[in-house]
Amino acid sequence: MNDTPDINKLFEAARRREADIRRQQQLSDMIDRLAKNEQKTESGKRKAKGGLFWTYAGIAASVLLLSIVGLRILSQGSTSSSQQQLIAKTKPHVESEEKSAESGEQRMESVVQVRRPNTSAVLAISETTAEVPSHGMQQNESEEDKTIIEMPVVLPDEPLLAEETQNGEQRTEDKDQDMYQHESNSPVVYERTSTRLVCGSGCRPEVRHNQEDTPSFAFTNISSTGTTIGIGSSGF
Amino acid sequence: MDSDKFKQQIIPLQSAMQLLADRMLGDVAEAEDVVQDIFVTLWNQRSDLDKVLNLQAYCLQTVRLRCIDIIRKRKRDAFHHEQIAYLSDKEVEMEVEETASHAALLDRLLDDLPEKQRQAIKMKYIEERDTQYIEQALQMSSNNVYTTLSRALQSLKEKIKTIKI
Repeated sequence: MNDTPDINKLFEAARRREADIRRQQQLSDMIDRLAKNEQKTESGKRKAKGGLFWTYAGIAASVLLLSIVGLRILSQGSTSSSQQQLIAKTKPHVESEEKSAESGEQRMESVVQVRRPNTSAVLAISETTAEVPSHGMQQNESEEDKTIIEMPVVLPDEPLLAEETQNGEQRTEDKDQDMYQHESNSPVVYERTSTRLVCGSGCRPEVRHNQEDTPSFAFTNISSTGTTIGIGSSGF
Repeated sequence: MDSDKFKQQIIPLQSAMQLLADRMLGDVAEAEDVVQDIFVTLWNQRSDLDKVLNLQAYCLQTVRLRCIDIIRKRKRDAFHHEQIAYLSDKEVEMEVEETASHAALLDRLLDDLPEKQRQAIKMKYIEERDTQYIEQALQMSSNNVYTTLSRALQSLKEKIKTIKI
């Protein structure tokens, strides 16, 4: 191409080149800024990640700590529940102790049937409970220590008639005996069908016969250590 | 692709990108904005640029598509109805080379001028400074600046006539 260039074209090309150099420099600076911003962003992200890591670590540690505390509380709760169970187990013991203490007042439960001799017809049934005084029963006695003793009662061989006094007067105090008295001419038998001695632990019952040959019970309250702490008796 | 490699391989493509954008949009400032936006996009996609075989073609096509989008938007706005000055990569490359050769020729011509005339020509016709700036920069009077510029232009024109590209 044999073409003489226009001076204005040369100036235009020079201007374009200068402008391009300037723009390229600007772009280069812009790229530097972008790179720096990216580095800052990356470091910020890394820091944020690090912060996030420590945040998560803190949360995890907190959760772990709370879990441990919760487990401790739960275990304490279960301990307390076990303690409660223990208490519950102990409570009957205490109750039994109380019962034992109550049962320290030993009682005689006896059932008396009144019937005619040689017949099975029962005229009346009398259930009586005789409280036996207790002296200083041991507090730590348990229900298991309570003894219920049923024993045959020695009764007079002869049938007891409707009791008459030596003067021939009939007793009218007892209602039951009133019933007996209703058929005063007919002999009746009262028969003690069962006798139960209920007493607490340490109560060592023994059957005695008093002078009237009426069975009676003597109680010796013995503490768990073997010490005699009270004596009671009951008779009919 | 790190920033040094980016500067080394992508930034020199700015001349062609700018020229293409200038021609397509007909607006130097808008073309500058487009090229700058594309450079930001290229920087953000620099990890993928290593896979590109022809970076110049890739960048020019990016400019072309971006300019087409802008021109379509203009058409939608019904303010511009001009034809798209579509330049192929080869045309852009040739024009860039021509610009570079013209600029290099001017450099050679200027090198033969006296220092004051060369500086005055550069300031006046390349840097597009006003006369007052040149007076202050060269510490010359207004008349001297006009005289210097006139002589320099005359010398250049004579020299150009002897040059055949």
